[in-house]
Amino acid sequence: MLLLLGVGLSCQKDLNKISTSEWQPDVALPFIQTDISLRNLIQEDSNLHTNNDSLLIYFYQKDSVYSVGVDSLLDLPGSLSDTSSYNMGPLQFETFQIDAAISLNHLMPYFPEAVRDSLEKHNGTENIFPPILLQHVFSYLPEPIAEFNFLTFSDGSFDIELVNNLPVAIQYLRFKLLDVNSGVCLKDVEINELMPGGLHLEQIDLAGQTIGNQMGIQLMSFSSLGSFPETVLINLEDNLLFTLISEEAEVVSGEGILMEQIIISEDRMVEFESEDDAKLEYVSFKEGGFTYTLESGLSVAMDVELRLPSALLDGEVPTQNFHIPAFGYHDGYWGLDQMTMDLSTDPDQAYNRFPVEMVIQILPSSEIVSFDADDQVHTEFHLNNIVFASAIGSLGKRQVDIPKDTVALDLEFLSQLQGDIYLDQPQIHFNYINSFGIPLKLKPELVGYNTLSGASQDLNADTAIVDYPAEPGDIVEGSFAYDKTNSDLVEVMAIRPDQIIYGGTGLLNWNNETNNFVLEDALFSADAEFIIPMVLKSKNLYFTDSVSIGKVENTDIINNGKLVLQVANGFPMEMLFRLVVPDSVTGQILSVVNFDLIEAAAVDEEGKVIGVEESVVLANFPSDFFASLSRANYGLLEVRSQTYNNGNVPVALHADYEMAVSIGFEISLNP
Amino acid sequence: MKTRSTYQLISLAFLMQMAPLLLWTQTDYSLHGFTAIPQSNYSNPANIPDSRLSIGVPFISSFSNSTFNSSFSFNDLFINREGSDSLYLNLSAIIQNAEENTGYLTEVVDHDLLFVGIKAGKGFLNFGVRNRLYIRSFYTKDLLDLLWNGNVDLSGKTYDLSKTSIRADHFISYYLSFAFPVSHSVNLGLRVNYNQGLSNISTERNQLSLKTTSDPSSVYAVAAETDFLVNTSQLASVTSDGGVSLSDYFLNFENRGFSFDLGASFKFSERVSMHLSALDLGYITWKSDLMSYESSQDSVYFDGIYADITDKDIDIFQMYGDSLSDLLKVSEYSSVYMTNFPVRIIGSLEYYSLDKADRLSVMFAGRFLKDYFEPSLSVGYDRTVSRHFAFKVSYTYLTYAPLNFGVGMVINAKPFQFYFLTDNVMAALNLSGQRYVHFRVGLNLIFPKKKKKKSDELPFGPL
Repeated sequence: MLLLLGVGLSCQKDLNKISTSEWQPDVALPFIQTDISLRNLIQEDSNLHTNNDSLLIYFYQKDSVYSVGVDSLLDLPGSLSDTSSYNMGPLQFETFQIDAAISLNHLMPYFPEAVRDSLEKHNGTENIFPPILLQHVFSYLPEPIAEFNFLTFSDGSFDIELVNNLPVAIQYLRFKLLDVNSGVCLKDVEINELMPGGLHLEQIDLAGQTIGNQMGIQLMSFSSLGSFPETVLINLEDNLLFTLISEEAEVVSGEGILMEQIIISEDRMVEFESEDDAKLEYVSFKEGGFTYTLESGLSVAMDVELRLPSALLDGEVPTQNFHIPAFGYHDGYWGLDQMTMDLSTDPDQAYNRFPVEMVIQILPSSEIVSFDADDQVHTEFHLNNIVFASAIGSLGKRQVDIPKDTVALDLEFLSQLQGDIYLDQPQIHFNYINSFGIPLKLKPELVGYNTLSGASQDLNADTAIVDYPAEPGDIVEGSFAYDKTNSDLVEVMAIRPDQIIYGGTGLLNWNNETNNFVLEDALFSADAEFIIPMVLKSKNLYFTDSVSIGKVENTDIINNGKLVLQVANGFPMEMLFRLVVPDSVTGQILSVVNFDLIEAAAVDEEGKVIGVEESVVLANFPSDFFASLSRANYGLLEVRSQTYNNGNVPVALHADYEMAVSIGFEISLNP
Repeated sequence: MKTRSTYQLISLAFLMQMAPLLLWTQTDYSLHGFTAIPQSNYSNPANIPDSRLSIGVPFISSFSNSTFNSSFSFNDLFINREGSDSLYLNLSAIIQNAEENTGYLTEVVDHDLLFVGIKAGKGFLNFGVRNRLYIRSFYTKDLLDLLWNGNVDLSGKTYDLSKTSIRADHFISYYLSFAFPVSHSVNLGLRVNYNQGLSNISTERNQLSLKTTSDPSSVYAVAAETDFLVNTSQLASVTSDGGVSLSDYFLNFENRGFSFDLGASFKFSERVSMHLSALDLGYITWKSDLMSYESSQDSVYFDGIYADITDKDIDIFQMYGDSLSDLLKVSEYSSVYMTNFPVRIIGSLEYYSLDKADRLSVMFAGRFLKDYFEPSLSVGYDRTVSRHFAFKVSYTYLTYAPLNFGVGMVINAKPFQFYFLTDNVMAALNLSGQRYVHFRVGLNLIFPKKKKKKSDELPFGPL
């Protein structure tokens, strides 16, 4: 019993003494074997391509970086203002006619009495017509001409027709045609003999004459031998018929009833005055207006037709017709949209001019109006708000500004990296199409901005000469490029721009070319290609990545541990890793694990890796590391890196670079 | 605190194997031939006890525990820290000082539930019920090394775990034993056991080994032979969340078997005799709540997972865990199996004094443990002081535990008999320093036989 008691007490005592253990087995286990290619390391980026020798090339394209439209090139300041006055000029006057039938009855008082008696006796009978002789001057006033009061003629004639309707020949007829108003003798006619039924013509030249509307005929002398021995029908109504007819009368002033006629028909050349010394031969308009004003100084209404004979609108010559009342005016507008115009029809100046055809037709006056050939019609022509849609000619040697614009540069792979990176061979290619028939020298103005750091860098690019088509309708393609030899592109990329503000200026006709053409819808458009071969050097590259940490329990079973990495580094970059575990709530750093350096692979003179660099990397996990995992839901993997030879040598990044990593871990357990 | 409680549990579990209170015995060297105790018939069915009628007080007639560890004692396992009276687990010395590559730990519990022995004529009829537990576990030095130090030895060392195994049988034997003289000088005995299997775990096959290397292609690589098969019965229920009720456990008769114990005694003279016995010749067929665990692969090689660590969609730790799970796939299935008991053979020579009160004995015992034979040698002296008291002292040599001084006593206080035996008395004085711990104690009701001539009496006279 005592023995049993002693054993029991001994057990109890021993059990109470056991408090700690140094049982800390070390477990070594393989973890991961992985081959990391450079392509996988650089996160998926659709802009990153691989060329035939596996060199990684960043290719970023932006369409229409430069886009110059017709509007910019054909922004031709200039004006057109034309005023003219047109004299009405001589007018055609309607033919007027005076009929004067001087019958025997009219003349009877002026015959001897015996003759009178004989004629009266035998009036209406067949008898011998007695000889007659006008004893006194006989004046006859026909009816006044209704068509005018007086006219001053510039041309035309008065035709006088005398028909002997007496049954006997007359001899020694002399008459005078008088302008009764002025008393001027318009014509003194002597006729030796005029047989019965005979016609005698006379003509009066009206040019320079002012004639009233009241004519008078004076028979100065008149005789006839009679009809003896013939008997004739004696009728006292038989007459001497005078017909006065105007022929092609042209008047310059007066008062009269005007007839419808075209007074002005003229092609007038109006000129577009270019401020830039542009010499346009053929244009089309996108916008604009042709305004005109006609002011009439005429006493009659007129119809006006305006035409732009060298222009086409919808396939037809633009024409406008309008009416202007007497002494009235008209304001008109011609929209130039879609209108084409030939500005080269003037043989004296085959550019910048176009004809305006104007036809003014006066309308017949319903009453007598006063007029003068010097009466005028005033015209004003203007071109307003002109925007050309196309132009052929010479646009002059001038500068055009390319508006500034901003393009976001999505260099995603660079944005993941911090530190200085010098890309050794960046290029920008501007690939353009040009349908402007104008020599253009382009000076790009391009500034890279890093909106995060605020840094900026000008490209300082050289001027580029742009090819242009030789014939209208042709489109040429070309390109110009910038790299470190002709710009500061390396410096631009060094600031890691996320924005490019670009613009520029262009010098047209830099080579004094005068044969230009800018067709509608012509365009100069340049796409930009950023071609960045991954040849770089860097001294202090830095990037971080987050590593998710799942729920970790039972970490107190682990004392400490280490990761053992066998690395065959085929990247031309040395790397130093550090794992930081922050508190997921407070952000306080709970634990830090430092990895040994991974040496960089060596490169040749072209920057290409020539062999892998093997190294064994250790990372010791301190005792607090595993406990920290329970308070963190992520870790920060910090990587510091520099390219081969301390970042002094440009290295080329090829997609087939690989880093083979075999990871194992040793942990000391505390069961 | 967790550390303290863990070690306390480990220590307690270990001590449970060794504490005398639990009374488990391995071979009961002290009991053998101590015929004053009726239960001495266990080691030789041919033994005929002195008493006429023996009735073990149910459940307390015999409690025996025996624990043996070939490699280390408690003190070897837990050592003092300098400057402190604390104990800490340390396998370093055990690993370094291990005499053999393979050690073993055995534990035997023998607990009488019922014991009745009746003199039948010249023979002895005995029946009863025994609650028995056999645990035999083998472990290799490499296993200890692996557990203690881990696998960071990259010298190319292969940790041989193939000798590691466990065999545990918990069963109840319902037995009937009869010892009878066939001649004046020869007794024979036979015990037939009907064994009710309660639970079992046995390593059927084990080819486990582990080697960790490092080569240019992988930092570490683990190569392992993984062929194993472990059969269990009732273990799943016992270890399940709901456990199993005692009644379901102890009243499960699906697992059955038989075993025999054979014994013979040869009396060369009145003072010299020899005893031979073979025990636990038998088996149990396990049929209930079976679960066999067998490896899916004979060997595995693991040098890590292949993964693209740049792929954010991959959960590497999940992938790693899945790989490890796939690596260590164990198929589980139900299959009836049979286990045999480790046969013990015992041979002894006895020399009596003239008055038969003193007896010297030399005993050789051995146990067949799968691929290993566990021998032992014991020398004992017992004396019947009076009808009320007898004692025994012994010395037992065990491989790996050569110094075992045993003591036993029997106290008769009619009709009660109390007895206590231990093969290693040092366990009581320095329990933590012993590799072998044995204890048997019990309480019987003894009804002696009628007085006879002294020459016919065994040394332990009638009460």
